Amino acid sequence: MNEMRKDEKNSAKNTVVLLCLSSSPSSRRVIQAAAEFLRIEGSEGIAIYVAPNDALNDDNPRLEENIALARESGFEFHSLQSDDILVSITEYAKRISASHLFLGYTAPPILLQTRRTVSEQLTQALPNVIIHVIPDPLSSPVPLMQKKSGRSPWNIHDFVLVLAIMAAATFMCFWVDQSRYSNANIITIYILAVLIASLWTSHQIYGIMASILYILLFNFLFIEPRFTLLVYDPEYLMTYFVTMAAALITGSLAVRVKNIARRSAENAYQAKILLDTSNQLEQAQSADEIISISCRQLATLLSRTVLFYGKDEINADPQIYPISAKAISLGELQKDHETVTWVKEHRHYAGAYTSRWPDCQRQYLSIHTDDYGYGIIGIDMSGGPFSEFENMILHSILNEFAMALENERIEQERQRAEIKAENERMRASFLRSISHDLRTPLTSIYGNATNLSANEKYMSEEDRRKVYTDIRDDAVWLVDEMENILSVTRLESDPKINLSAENVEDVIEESLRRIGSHSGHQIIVRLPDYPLFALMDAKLISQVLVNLLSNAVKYTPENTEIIIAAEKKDDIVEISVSDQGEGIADEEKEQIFELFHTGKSAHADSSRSMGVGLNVCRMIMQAHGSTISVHDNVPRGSVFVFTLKAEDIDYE
Amino acid sequence: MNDMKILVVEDDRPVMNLITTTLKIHEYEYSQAANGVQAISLCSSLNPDLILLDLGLPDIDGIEVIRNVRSWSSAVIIIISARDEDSDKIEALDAGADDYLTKPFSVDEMMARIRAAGRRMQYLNTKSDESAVFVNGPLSIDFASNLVMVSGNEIHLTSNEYKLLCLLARNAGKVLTHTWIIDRIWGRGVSTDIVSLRVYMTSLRKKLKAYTGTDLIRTHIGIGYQMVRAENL
Repeated sequence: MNEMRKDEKNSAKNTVVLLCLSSSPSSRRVIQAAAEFLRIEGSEGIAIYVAPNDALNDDNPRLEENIALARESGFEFHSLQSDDILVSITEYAKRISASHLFLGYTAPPILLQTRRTVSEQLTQALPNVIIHVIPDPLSSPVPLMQKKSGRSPWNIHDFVLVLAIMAAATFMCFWVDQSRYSNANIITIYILAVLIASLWTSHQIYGIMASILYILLFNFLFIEPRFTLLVYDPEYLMTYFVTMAAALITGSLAVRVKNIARRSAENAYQAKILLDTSNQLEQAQSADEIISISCRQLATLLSRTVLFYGKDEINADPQIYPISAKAISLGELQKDHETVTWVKEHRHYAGAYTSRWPDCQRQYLSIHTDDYGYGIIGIDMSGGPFSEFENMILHSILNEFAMALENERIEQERQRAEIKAENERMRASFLRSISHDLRTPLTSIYGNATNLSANEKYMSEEDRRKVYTDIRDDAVWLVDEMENILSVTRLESDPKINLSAENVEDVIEESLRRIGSHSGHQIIVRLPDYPLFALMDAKLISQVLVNLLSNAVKYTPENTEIIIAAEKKDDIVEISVSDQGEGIADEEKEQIFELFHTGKSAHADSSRSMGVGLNVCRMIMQAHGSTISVHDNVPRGSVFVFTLKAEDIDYE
Repeated sequence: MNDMKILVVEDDRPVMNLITTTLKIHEYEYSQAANGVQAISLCSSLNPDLILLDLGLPDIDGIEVIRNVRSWSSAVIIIISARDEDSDKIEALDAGADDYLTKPFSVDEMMARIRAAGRRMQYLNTKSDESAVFVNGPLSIDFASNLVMVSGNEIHLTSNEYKLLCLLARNAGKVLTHTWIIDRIWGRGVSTDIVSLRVYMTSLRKKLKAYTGTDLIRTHIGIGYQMVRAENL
């Protein structure tokens, strides 16, 4: 009860009008009525046409006209293929949560009126949908009950089979007749034969044929006067009529039983195939894999060559999944381009055995979900039209295919969003760490400046000198850090650098000037006696050296040596900065180049981290297409090494 | 000359220089430790009155130093934190620290905290914690008769407000974290949230301010509350 009220509320909020089209001329009136209703009430209109599965040709000008009219009136058009029109309509209406349903109606022939009417059946299946039935006064073909325009049911095999069964029955009857059993047994034997004929043949028509044969044979062979079709006793007419009816009914029952058996076998097979497909699709890791699994499955099941055009690749050559060695020339496929483009744009199907481009060799179907097209599948139709069963399989797999691609796309989007979020987190942690790093030197500068301005006269000469040095050192640290931050930002936004041949000695000198005088350490420069040129962005390489040198100064004891060396090895220049400090533990040798690695302390709140310096060094070297690494110095300390491409300069 | 013994624990040389220079200017007696192990051993040998402790130490976590020292010493601990993350400070305060400074801090602020700690120490030395009457500027609490007077006027508090005021008064000068207060007023495991603490605190402060005009309770946003000594205002 509650459920229903909820449904009603939903549909009241969003009116969805479903319009059932047919090729009947009266469909025009239905469309007009629905369009009028949509104009006043509706927010969404969907028109459908249910084509029988084995309809060879839906190229019906009147239907086309009706579809065009529905589109003009603001309906979205979809074509369904199914033999059970009522079930298709109800299922579709449920899926789109239609609130109103419009369909045409022709009074069925009197004989069929015992069955429930279409609108009655729909009302029962769709209790929450308001059904508008527009009566059709014209004696046009029943729109919903289109007769199957199937292939001819006649075939030699069944025909011969019926004759053989009836012949066998006749021989038996002769035997019964000879052995003085009652004539009633003859009738029973013939009815059995009719039943067998109905069961073993492919169409109901053979059952009817068998019944007629039975009457003729019975009359001709066993009823006085024998070997004529005359009947003396009118009572036999009654017998004929009753047994004929019995034969027909048993025959049609047999056909139905057979149909049910066939259908359930087909259903089981279909379920298995679909389960297989969806299991395989579940294993698929990428969109490409989904495409190849689906196309292969389709090619195998339909025994037809399958083509696939990606969403944005309809101008390129398709992926081909051939079933036989018969090659499809790409030139031939070029001719289908117009069809493929149309299918892509309209998210529909076209090509062989459809109303659009029926002379095409292939049928093209769009792979899409409600709001996204994924590509177009082409199926070679040289083997004739699809059977009802093939059609069912095809559409189910296409559905699975589209769903799998949709899931994959959503997953991709989720991953992209995650990466973006991760980048954002990195950026946030970068900013947080920077501001953290700036706090300590600022504390010292701020406090020392306050003390100097307020209490200078209470401070000893020695203390004052110490304070001045501290302020200067911290200011230098801030300047270096700021340079590094600027480099990070620059390299992040534009990783391209300006390479030119530079004199390595000049760059080292410039770097030494930038770190200023450090009386505590002895800095030694070792260069070869020939001029050394390397390809680099001089500003950035100078910054690498400044970072390495200031780290060496900061983290190694005073009165030790720091050596900058450069040498040419084949076509590269190797530059190293070595110190005599405590060295770096092996497990930390990689980590120190990470952002905000703070040395041994596990606590991130260490007073002064090594900052972004080494990370910037690595970024700069990566931008140069090179690397930076650290090794142990002998006997103690560390050596930082990086390489650059050497450049030979001609001296006249 | 100040007779407080101060231990400075800081591994960054320029900041250590700054603190010691400042203490020297204000004639405090101090010793220095550059890491946690040294800090703990100096604490036990010197028994300082006040510890200025940097949370980020090269060897052990500053919080560990607080837990260790607090287990046997009642020295005032002021932490120095470079991170603007409240969780660090709350953890340190809950571990037993009394107050905190966030880098970059001004030296004046640092000295004010040290002076406040000194007075609190003197107060604790002269009057025992169990004394019957608490006096802080215009505020006086007679614990025996549950009487709260502000500038000579009796004010009426609800039971929870009174408990809250007593808690702050007994720990005057110390920064009390939200959870620490909630644990003591409502008991551990009771799911009283910070919002209701804020409601009680607002009404308590309104009643106190009605007569004094000054606010003896300081809010530390995101961390907790602190009763400030009137002479430090």
